[in-house]
Amino acid sequence: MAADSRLLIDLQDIYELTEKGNKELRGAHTVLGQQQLEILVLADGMASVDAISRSVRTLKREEVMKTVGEMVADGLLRQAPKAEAAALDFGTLLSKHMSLSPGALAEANEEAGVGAASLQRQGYFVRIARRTRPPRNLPAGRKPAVIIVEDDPHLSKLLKTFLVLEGLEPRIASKRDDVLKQFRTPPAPDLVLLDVMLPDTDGFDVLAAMRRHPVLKSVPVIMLTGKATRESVQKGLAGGADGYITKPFEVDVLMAALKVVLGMP
Amino acid sequence: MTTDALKEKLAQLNAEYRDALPAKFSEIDALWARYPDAGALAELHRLLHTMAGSAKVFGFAALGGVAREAENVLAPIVKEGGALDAQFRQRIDALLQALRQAAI
Repeated sequence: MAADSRLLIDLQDIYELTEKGNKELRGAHTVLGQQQLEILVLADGMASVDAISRSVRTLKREEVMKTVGEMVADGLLRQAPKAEAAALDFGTLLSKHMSLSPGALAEANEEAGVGAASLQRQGYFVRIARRTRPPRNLPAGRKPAVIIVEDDPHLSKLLKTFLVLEGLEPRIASKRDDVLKQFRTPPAPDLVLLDVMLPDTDGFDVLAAMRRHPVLKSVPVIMLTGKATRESVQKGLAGGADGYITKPFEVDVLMAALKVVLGMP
Repeated sequence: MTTDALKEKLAQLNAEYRDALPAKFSEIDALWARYPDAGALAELHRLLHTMAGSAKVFGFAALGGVAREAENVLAPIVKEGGALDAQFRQRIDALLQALRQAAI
């Protein structure tokens, strides 16, 4: 990172994403690390450094302040105009806590971002994709295998159509047993597209199990889910996902994300 | 696959999604009719979540929006439990009715 991190960062300062920061979260191609991405997710819609530091569990407060300073210097974050930050802060508090008791204020300050409520109303979305692992060397003639974990049969059929068009070998799983069966079926997947809310299991649990598995731990995963909250995105990234695309999605964006993660041209 | 063939395939997938909607609405109604069964409420929430994520992809943006709203309304009830008052139930009724309207 070529940033000058000697900026004076105050815990109460409120930051927001720049256009560049927004592109990292929604451009389906980022080279940022997990902690920077987490901070972007938290600052999306404005957040104080204090609120961010309470939500990023893997960094100490001083490290968050330093990273925020570096991200400001790198043009990913900027300090929100004071008037707008104050107005948004007040609006959010008022909408969520009609009676502003000391307890309510404290609770509100616990939130990751003061703009969370308004973002939620507008429909929060991200399109994160990053290549964190070197591409696997496949035997000649073998297409990259992709497991689609998706409970909507129409959606999995649509995804399968596009994956075949991209020269991939898709396999579908809609329930826990299907997922286990597909993981046991050779060849091992080169990528997993993973929904979260499934009939009898949870995609975050599947991700956690994969990351503990000796073979599957290195398989890239893109979360493709309607779980569109900053907490869910954070959970996916912290759990080791290589991408997080919220539904509804645009097919071309998903395909671009998939190529980024697989290292395809 | 040629562009025309792809367009035809996508049109077919969209039609399949549209044709499946009445059955989905019936399933949703049946689950809501089982209130206060917590299991049925959780399954209703999951179906609405699925619909919210997929409808727009198949060209039913308004349906996806209503499904998302219904999902969000139900979410805290599914998570925390508790009885719904008459006003809340009317709101769910209205949203489920609006789902059908949004699909037209």
